[in-house]
Parts: sequence; C-alpha cells; structure tokens
Amino acid sequence: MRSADYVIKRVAIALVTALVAVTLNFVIFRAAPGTAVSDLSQVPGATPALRQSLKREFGLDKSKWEQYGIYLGQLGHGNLGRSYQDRQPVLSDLGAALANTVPMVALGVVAAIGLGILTGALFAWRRGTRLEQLGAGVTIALFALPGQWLGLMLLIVFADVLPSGGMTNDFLIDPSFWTHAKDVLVHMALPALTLTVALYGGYTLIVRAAVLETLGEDYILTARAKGLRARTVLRRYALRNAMLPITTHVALSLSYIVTGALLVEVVFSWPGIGRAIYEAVIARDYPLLQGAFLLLTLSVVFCNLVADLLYLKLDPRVTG
Amino acid sequence: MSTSLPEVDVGVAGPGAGGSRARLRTTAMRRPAAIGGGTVLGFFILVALLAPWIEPYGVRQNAGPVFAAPSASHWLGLDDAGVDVVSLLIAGTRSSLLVGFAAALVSTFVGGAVGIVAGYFGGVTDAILMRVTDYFLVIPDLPLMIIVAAIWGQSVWHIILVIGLLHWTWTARTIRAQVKSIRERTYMRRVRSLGAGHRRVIVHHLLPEVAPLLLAVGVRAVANSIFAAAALAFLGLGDPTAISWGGMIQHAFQRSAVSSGAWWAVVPPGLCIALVVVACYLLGQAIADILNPRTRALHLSARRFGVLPLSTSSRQQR
Amino acid sequence: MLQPMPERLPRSQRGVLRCCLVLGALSLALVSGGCGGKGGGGGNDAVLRIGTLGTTASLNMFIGGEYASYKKFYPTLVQVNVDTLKAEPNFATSWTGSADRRTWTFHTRPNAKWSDGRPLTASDAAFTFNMIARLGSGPTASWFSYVKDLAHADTPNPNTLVLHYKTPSAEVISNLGTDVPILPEHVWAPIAAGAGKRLMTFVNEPRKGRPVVSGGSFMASQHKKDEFELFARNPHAYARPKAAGIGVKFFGNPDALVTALKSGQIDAGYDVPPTAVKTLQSAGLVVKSTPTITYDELAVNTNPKKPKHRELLDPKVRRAFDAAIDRQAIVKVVYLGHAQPGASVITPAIGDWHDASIKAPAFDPAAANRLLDAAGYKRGRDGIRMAQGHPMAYEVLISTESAREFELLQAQFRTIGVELSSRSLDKEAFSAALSAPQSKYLSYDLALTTGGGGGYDPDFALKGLTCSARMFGFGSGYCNPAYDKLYARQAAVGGPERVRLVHEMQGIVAGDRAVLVLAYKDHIDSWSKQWTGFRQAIDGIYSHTTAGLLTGVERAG
Repeated sequence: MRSADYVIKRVAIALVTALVAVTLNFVIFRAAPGTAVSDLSQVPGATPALRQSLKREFGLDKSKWEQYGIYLGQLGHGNLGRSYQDRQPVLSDLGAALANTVPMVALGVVAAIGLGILTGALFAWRRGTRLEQLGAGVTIALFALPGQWLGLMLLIVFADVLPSGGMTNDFLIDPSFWTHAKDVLVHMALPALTLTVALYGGYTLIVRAAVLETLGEDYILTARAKGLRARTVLRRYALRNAMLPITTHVALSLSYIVTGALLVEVVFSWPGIGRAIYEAVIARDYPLLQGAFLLLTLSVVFCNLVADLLYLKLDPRVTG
Repeated sequence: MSTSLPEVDVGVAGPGAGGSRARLRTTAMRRPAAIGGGTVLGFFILVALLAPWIEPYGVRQNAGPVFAAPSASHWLGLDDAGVDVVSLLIAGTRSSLLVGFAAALVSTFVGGAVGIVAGYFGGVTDAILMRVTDYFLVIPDLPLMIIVAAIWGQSVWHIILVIGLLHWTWTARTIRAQVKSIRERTYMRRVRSLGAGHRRVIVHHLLPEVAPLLLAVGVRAVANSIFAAAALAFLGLGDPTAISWGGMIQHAFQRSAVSSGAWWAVVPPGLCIALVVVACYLLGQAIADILNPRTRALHLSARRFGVLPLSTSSRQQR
Repeated sequence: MLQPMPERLPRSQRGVLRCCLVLGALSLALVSGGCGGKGGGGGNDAVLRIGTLGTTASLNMFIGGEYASYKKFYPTLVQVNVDTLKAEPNFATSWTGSADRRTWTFHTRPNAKWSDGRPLTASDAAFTFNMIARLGSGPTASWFSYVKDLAHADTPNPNTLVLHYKTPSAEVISNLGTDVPILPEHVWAPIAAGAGKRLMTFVNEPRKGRPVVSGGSFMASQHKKDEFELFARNPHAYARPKAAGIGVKFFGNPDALVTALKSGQIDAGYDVPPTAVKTLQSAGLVVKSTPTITYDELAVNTNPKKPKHRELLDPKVRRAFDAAIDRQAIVKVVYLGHAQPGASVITPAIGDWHDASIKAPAFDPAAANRLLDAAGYKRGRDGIRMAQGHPMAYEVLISTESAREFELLQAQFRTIGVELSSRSLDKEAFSAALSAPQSKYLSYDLALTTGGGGGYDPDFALKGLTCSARMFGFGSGYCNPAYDKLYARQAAVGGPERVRLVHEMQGIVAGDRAVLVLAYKDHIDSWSKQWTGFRQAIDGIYSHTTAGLLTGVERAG
C-alpha cells in the first residue's frame, strides 16, 4: 500500500512539474519582444494589411489570457503551431529532428556509461594505487573540457579520416540499406565520440564513488570473509549494489546530456533537435523554439519519473 | 556535460560541523590536490587582476597577418583578426573569471536563500520551494539559457544573471539539508525557546554555520558558470565585444581556424577553461571533504570521493 | 545510506541490463527506421556536389527564401549574361517593348514541357504574374513589388506573352523578366484559388521519388530541410545541362564546409570564407572571387524628428566620421583583402550603374579632429568630445557576425574623441531595434549593417533608400525627398537617361553621408579541378540573380 502511495505521489509531482513547464513555456515566449510579423515584414513589399493578417493567423492580436487558453487547447491536440521558417507543423519538424538526435546521443551516452562503469569500478577497487591516482586525474581533466572545444579538437585530429559534418553523405543517390546504415554510422562517429569523452569523466567519478561506498559495507566484508574471489565480490556484490545510485544519476544527468548534444550538433552540423534550436534562435522562430523546449523538458520530466519508479522496483524500502 | 559537473554530496554532514575553520587549515596542508587547485586558481585570479599591465600586445591591435603561426614574438601566434593570442588569453581571463564569479555569486545567493528558508521553516514553505527546485533541476538549462539570452539581448550582466538564476538548484538542496540538521541541534532549540526572532536565528546562528559550506558549493559554482558562459559564447550568445575564452573559441570556429590548421587559435582557450574548472573542482572538493567529518574520518576508505546522486540523499531525508 | 541486501541484487542487475538492452535496440531501430533508403533521380557519377553555408526551409517560393534554388527548377523569362551583363533568352526567346514602355511582348519557346510532360506555355507565365498581382499584399506579398504596376498579362497565342502596364515601366526585363520564377499553372492554380491562403502552407516537396513539377534545366528531386537539395537533370529541359544533376549540401559552419571541400566530400564550395582561401589554394583547388552588389555600411540616423543625439544631424559631424574610418584596415583585417574600400551605394559589380566618380574619402583622422574642433565639439576631461552638453558616446547596433568590423571602427573613432559601444542583435531583433519605435526610426544612433543586394538591376538597392522603405521596416531609415523624386522618374525612363539619374541618386546619398559605405564585398567560390565550365555571377556560381549558370558545368577530361 505504501508503495502505491509512493507511485501516486511521484506521478502527481511529475504532472505538476509538467504543468509548470507548460505554463512557464508560454510566459517566456509571450514576454518576448518582437513577433514573427516584423520578421516577415522584412520582405520588401509587405504591407500593413499583410502584417495584420499574419497577426490574426498567429493569434497575436488577442489578449494574453485568450492566447494562453488557445495555447493550452492546441497543446491538448498535440498542435504546437507552425514553424515560422517553413510553415510546417512544429511537431513534425521536431519529430524528424529528434529521430536524428536520439541514435547519435544514445550511442555516445551508452558508450560513456559502459566505459564509466568499467573504469570507475576498477579505480574504486584499486584505490590508493598509482593507477587509481592517475585515473582519477585523467577523468577529472576530461570532464573539465568544454564539449564544443573537444569536438573541434577531434575535428582537427580526424579531419581527413572521418566526415566533418552532417548525418549522411547525401550524394549517395538511392543507397542500399546497408550502405546507408554504414554511412550514418561513419558520420555519427565523431559527434558520438565527443559526447562519450565529454560525459565519460563524470560517469566514472559517479561509479567510482558508488562502488567505494558499497565496498565499505558489511556484506562485502562478509563476502570476502566467506573466501569469495575478489573479482567475484566486485562484480557480484559491489558493482551490482552500486547500480542503484548510478541509474539515478544517469537519469538526473539528462539535462547535461541535452546540453552536450546541443553543442555537439552545432559543431558537427548534425540535423537534430539541438541544431534546430540553434537555427530557430537565429531566425527567431518562436513556435519551433517553444515546441523544442517543451518537448525536451517533458522528456526529462518523464525520464525522471521512470527513474523514480525504477527505484521502487530496485529497492522496495524506498517509499514516500 | 558542459554546464554541470557531478555533484558532491556534502549535505549530510552530521553533528560537529562547527569549528571547521581550524580544520580547514590543517587538512588543506595534507591535501596536495587542494593546494594545486588553489594555486592554479590564484594564478588565474592574479592574471585577471593584472591583465591590462601584462598583456604583451593590444587586444584590439592588428599585430600581423591573420592566423600567423606561433613565433618568438607571438608565442601562441595570431588569431582570425591578426591579434596576439597570448594577449587575448590574458584579457579573456579577466572577463571569463568575472562572469564565473559573478554568476556563482548570484547562484549561491539564490540557492543559499532558498535552501535556508526551506530548511529552516520546513512544512509547506519547504514543500513549495523544493517543488520549484525540482523543476529547475530537471529543465534542460542550456536551451533555456539560449532562449533567455536571445530574448534579453547579449550584455555581460544578462549573461551573468541568466547563468546565476538557472544554476542555484544544487546549492539550494545542499544548504537545505545542512540547515535541517543544524536546526535540530540542542542549542538551536534553546536559542529559539529563548524567544529569538526568525531573522535573528538565521542571521546570527544559522548563517555562520552554513557559511563554509556555501563557500564550498560557491567555488564549484564558479566552474559551472565558466562552462555555461563558454557554451553561450560559442553559440554566439555571449557578449560580442568582451574578450572571453568562450568567445575566442567561437571566433576561431566561425572563421574556420580548424580547417586552416590554426590550432593555436582554438587549443589555448579550451585548455584555460579546463584548468580553471579542474582547479575549482579540486578546491571545492577539498573544502567539502574537510567539512564532512564522515569523509574525513574515512579518509582512505569508501567515502573519499563522497559523490552521490542528489535524489538518493534527499530521499533518505524524507 | 542505501544498504540493499545481497540476496536481492541479481534482480536489480537484471533490470539495469534490460534497460541497457532496450536502449541499444531502440537506437538501432531508430538508425534504420529514421533513415531508410529514399528515392531520388539522376545518375550516379556526374552529379555536381556543391556545399554551402546556411539553411534551406522550403521549395515553396511563397514560404522560403531559397531564391537560388527556385531558379534551378522553375524557368524565368530571361537570364543575365554574366560577361556582357545583358539579358539573354531563357523561356522567352525574344522580346520587345512599346515606345511608351507600357506594353511588353515576349515570344516564348514553342513545344516546351514541364517535367511531368505537360506543356509549358506562355499562359503559365501569365498565370504566375496575374496571380501575384491579384493577391497583392496577401500571401504572395514578397513578390508583389515586381508586378505592382502590371495591369494584366495575356496570351494572344500559347507562345506569346503580353504584359500591359498601368505606368511606363523601363525595367521589366531586368527585374520581372530575370527574377520571377514561372510556376506550372496546372499545379498552382487550385492552390491559389480564392484568397490564396493555401499558398502559405502548400508543401512543394518531392515525394516518393517523384520530383516537384519543374520547368528549368533541372528538377527538384530531393529536399531535406536545412540539409540537402538535389536537382536532377530535367528530361524535358529546353536548355539541357551537361551534368546529370546538382546536389547542394548545407553546412552549419565554415570549418565543416572547408574541410569537406579539402577532403573531396564535395566538388565545389559556394561562398567560402576569406580566411579559407590560402588553405584551399594550397590544397589544389580553384579559388575565384567576384565583386558583389552588397556593401557594409555604417548607417547614421539623420531623422530630423530624432529626440536624442541631435548632433548627428550636423553634416560636419558625419563628414568627420567618414574621414575617421580606415577602410583599408577593414578590407585587410575583416576580409583579408577580398573586398574593396567602399564609397557609393551602387557597387562597381554591376557596371555602368555604378558612379565611378564617387570616391571613398581619404582616411584622415587629423582632418576629422580639426573639423570637430572647428564645429565646437570640445573634448572633455576623458578625451571624449561633448555635444550639446552630453558626451559623444553612441551605441552602434551590430549583428553578431560584424563584431570584428565594429572593433576596428571603435578604435578608429576613439582617435577623434567619439566613443562607440555596441549592441549585438540577430537578424529579427536587429531590424526591430533599427526601425523602433513602430517603423519610425527615432531611437537608434548608429548601425553597422549590410546594404545593397538584389540583382543586376539597381532597382532593389535603390528602393531600400527611399522614404517609403521605412514603412516596411526595410533599410536603415534614410529619407531624402529629392532622392525619392529621382527614384520615381528613373523607373519610367530607360537607356542612358536612367543611368544618368541613377548616378545622380548615388551622388545625393554620398553627399548626405547618412549611409557611410565601408567596403564592397567580394564573393568567393572554390571548386575542384575535376570540374570545368563554372561561371560566376555577382553572387557566385550558385546564383540567385540569374538562371542558367550551371548548365555548362561538366566533369573535366
């Protein structure tokens, strides 16, 4: 029963956070100076009549409260408006961008987590040794490197070996499935690697700390006293226990992953949601910006909820 | 990655965190990493203060051909406007540290205030403030910073405010946990039962207790702020006329330094950012370790790094 | 702290493992699902691969601004010969204007076809122009200025187009004829019906391997927003291109573009940055620059109703500003020599229209200082001059990319006791700040911006300096009734008389010194030696000013 309370509470919190996000989103954008109208009127030949009709089209002539009502109603129908840039529904533009972002980011993040677990556990196990001191130094140094700079460094090193930008070689006309998949992977290499290196340091430190924490626990002592091999103890007891805080941390690090992805996409011209935000800022494409920000916030809220619920499954003693 | 670093859980300091200043001194001596971090940070602060006097060339001065390679007269070559890179690095130190420290001040102030109020008053106040904090913790901060910077316009003060106002969550949570534990101590209860007002208790009894902890999180916030400022500058949303490390990287990127092979215009500013960030991290870590008696007691054991996810500790306290 | 018991651990481990597996599978699925093979046309070998900066939004010309792209797959009546700067046939093979310049007759190509095989006739052209004229300031507003004086277009027979004008119109060939793409009536007529609302949302994209119905040398056969455009050879083209197609890849930053060009991922780079010229030359690529119709300007707000900093209305102040600018330094540092010091608002790139007698003022800070001293603007204690009781310190509106240029101006103005600070804005915010409040141009002092533009006809560049341009928030707010009178006259007359009037107008602007032209910019293209036949218009090889430039490009050897 208490776990049911916990679930309800968590879901309620997530819903409230989502509503705050939705409202704040509206406030930020409607407090913004300048509207699409003045941008479109930059076209020579636009007249006050045209501007007026555009205002009507985007509902910019109504009161803020009415606009908020319209906004909520449209949101309920999954309508995030039309992009000022290409006049297509924001949701379809963002959907396409997100589909490009997710595989690249997933590759980079999964690699970072995998490497982080391996070396983090190793450093914790070998605490106090030269290896650990060196490793800790390297990881701290790595996570202090700005992602955009790291990307440029990799561009310098791999400029002639790997593609410098974009997601595909568009000049491959009608590629077969495998040619295409290989092409995408090759293009993905540098941005994903940048993300991996940039995130790796942080994850290693987390894993190392979490494993160190469990290594100090009594059951480890018990396990060792039972005469189990060190490696077994590490893998079966210490690391497995450490997985709990690690999972939470990964969920919480989503906001930094978004940051990293945005910078990496700009450096490597990756046609994902980060670059869409970047281009939308330049073009003052408010509907797209608003949609992108909302989508990102809601997905982070959702992932955190998942982590919270996962926690319950991993450790039933955690209750509201 | 770029705008936030993994966070040290120092909020669970048990009783006896007081009298930490003396401990600060003695422990610092035993920690070479802390001394290293302090020295590096001190060096950069010195450079920032002396910047106008130690720049070898003018930072608006066209000292030779664009992207000239490093030479005896220009140790790190020239940038995309023919300006001496060493001079730019020195000038960039000043504005980068200014933004870093000022934004950290803002975030520490806001986070400290929220943390103290939430932790001290508890109840509904606490619940509401923590909900707000949760929200700011999950929103993707760089996109929001981009949007706000684009809307407000790009001056140094706007950048500082944007970064400061979005980076206070961790401070708030840490301070709140600390305040909660201090609040329950016997002498605090006595002070309150003697009829001291809230303001008096907070200013005279709570604040001195959490001050060292604020320092620790503040130093780490400097690193975060410098990271965020560099990211904004890279996206063309920094102050365009100020010379900063992030801005140097952006100029180099926009004017194709990488494909021109002018590594000297890109590499040094990134390394400077990394050095300052590592220095702040080590220093903050050291202060945090010193303040957390459990970490100190188990110096060579499990809790040496004491890094824990936030929600773990907060959930334990609920 | 958490102390889970060892017995329960395997379960948690399994959960995490499963989580990782799901993530991995998801990413694999997305890689494959998000990017299945897409249809396209054209052969494999001889597609010219062009890389450029920027973005591509829409192939619907009433939504997007990809003018260069529209001219690849829609015909225009005429095109400009980039060597003689004269009009030459495109869809129209010959044309005549009546003596009163109110009636223009075009003879169009017989037996021409759209890419779907339907006939391409003069009535498609008449439809396009009449539609834009009919909808006026509605959804087609961005093209309306081309037909604002058009009474109607008719077609006495399928191969003859007659344009009837309300007023004498001298520039029909060089504006409407060169610039306005002709749309297929059978596709666009239903969309333009009524108030034409659907024009603003119509998705004019290739679908499932079927290209957009096209009538130029190429047809639009692939389009990925912000990434890629593919124009395959149009089988029904009346001007058959030598290459099997043109692919245009859009890069997010110059570094990626230059690297791709160097490593052979693309064959040609359109609009490469001056900083990359040396690198590209040493990598064995052809690098060519061409003068353009755009220039950098320092705009001074001379609006007589301006409430603040009214000393800027003093011509002596502006003359001093002009003399304090080191144009050579701007050309050298900002453009690495790929520009010329500027003087007139019509650049030398379009031949006779430019008044060569207008010269850039000499860089002479001493003279500028004497001028300001004599006019009574005394220096304050901090070295900054005072005017009407306040220091001569001004905020300059700049766009993000002109930060370098601003830095130079700031240093130069400091030598004459004038302090400049900057306010950096991106495109939309910039024009809002420039024209504030409400297109009245009262609040700004100085702005560093780009002027000129348009095509081989000076009309577009001239129009931006008229008083009525203010109404649209277009331009920097320059307004001189004498100039406007000449602008109205030059539109009606043709030949040498128009040239004379255009020169006179440039003289007026130069004399007013409200638009200080800093530099005429060059445009730089670069291409691999494996391709030949490139011709550069004033805006390079992938031109929006004229059609037909890429039809002669082919693989060498």
